[in-house]
Amino acid sequence: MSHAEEILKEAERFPALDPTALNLLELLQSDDFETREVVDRIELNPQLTIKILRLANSGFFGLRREVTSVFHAVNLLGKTNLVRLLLSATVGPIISQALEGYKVEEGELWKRAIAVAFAARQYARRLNVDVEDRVFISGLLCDVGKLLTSSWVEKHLKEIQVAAFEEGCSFEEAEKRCLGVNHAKVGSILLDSWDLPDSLVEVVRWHHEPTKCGAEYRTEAELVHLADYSCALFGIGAGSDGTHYRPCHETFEKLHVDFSLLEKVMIDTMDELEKSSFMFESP
Amino acid sequence: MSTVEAITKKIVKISDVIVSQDPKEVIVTYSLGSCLGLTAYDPTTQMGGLLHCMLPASKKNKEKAKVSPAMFVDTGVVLLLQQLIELGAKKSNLEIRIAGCASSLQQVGNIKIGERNHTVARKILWKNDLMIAGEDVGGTQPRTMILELGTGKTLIQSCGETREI
Repeated sequence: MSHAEEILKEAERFPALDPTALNLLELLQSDDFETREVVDRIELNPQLTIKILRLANSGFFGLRREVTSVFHAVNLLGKTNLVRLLLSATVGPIISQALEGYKVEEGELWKRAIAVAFAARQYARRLNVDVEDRVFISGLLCDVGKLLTSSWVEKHLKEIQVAAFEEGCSFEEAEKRCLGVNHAKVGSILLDSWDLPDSLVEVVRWHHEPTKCGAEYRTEAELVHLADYSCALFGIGAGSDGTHYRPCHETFEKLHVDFSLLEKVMIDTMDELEKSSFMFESP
Repeated sequence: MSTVEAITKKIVKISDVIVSQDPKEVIVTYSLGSCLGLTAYDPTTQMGGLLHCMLPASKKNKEKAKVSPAMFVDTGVVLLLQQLIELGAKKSNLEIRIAGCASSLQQVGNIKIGERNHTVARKILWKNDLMIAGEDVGGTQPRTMILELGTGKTLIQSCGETREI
């Protein structure tokens, strides 16, 4: 069995996300849901209930009244924030682990994930593309494949580093060359196995090569690419891969991304990151 | 480390600066990508500091620079010097070392953050009559920068190697 086949087999065995939260995420994707139904499902999960009440009462939303019920919290937070919270409560604990292969300490990949999510949303806003919520989630999950590729990167680090730092491959190209598959593809397979929407699977698959993404989700893939590239450049959650990634020139040109835009996006991203420290806490 | 005494580690986050006069401390910053890491150390007083800046110039972001001067190289370097002088360090004694300023595998358009950070740092240091005693900049590899207050050494860890600059 090749490395790639073994890695993809591991993806099938990887623990799925919390079913309550997945269920809720699915419900929230539809336009037609009753708040009561959402509240009932949240109340079945004490950890989520606590997290939601803490978030509603945190300074992040600047609410003046104390929120004491899930119903009140859900109404105040709105769908977008609820989706974010569900992801942080479900994906956060999984994605927070230290990754030996990438030399990333505990919590750093999660921090990177949130930074990419914020940056993707900032790019969408500043470029007037109406996909803010969708790119937030894709950004958050774009490196989820590293959870699986990490142990393989660790075993083949020397080989990968030679391919990357001596032979001119980008880090994910070096992964592909040495392991037969890169973290983007593994991430997309993982998300697909969790039955997450196709848009998410496709954007994560192509976040390093957005021009290969199908036309339907290409803009989202481009925004996540910009966000991921920007965060890597500033070393946010960076490890053995450093800044060793290749920008998609076509995307930068098409969307007219220059120093000034990148600077604005990253200043706002760092601000949001600072305000959202609650997302780094355990649910 | 050259000492067996308990060493306290202080961590500098992105857009942050820490100064110290405790010889039992080391100041560390992780994951320097295109950001600038800068250490300043006065060997006569064993006072030193480490700065981690994201962006080159505060010119277009004056409000942000007031709240977070260490975000920008121009205001960050001034802040570090001020804090060290307030602590009792002598400016003319300061040994300056810089690291980071990496780029991605290929540059794109005018986005050359690492180079810009490097250029502005040199300019600000020149204006302040300070020379760079050592540097480890550019490339695409991540760097951790460490300042040992006890010895004054600035160490760079990258891809499993540690070197002094």
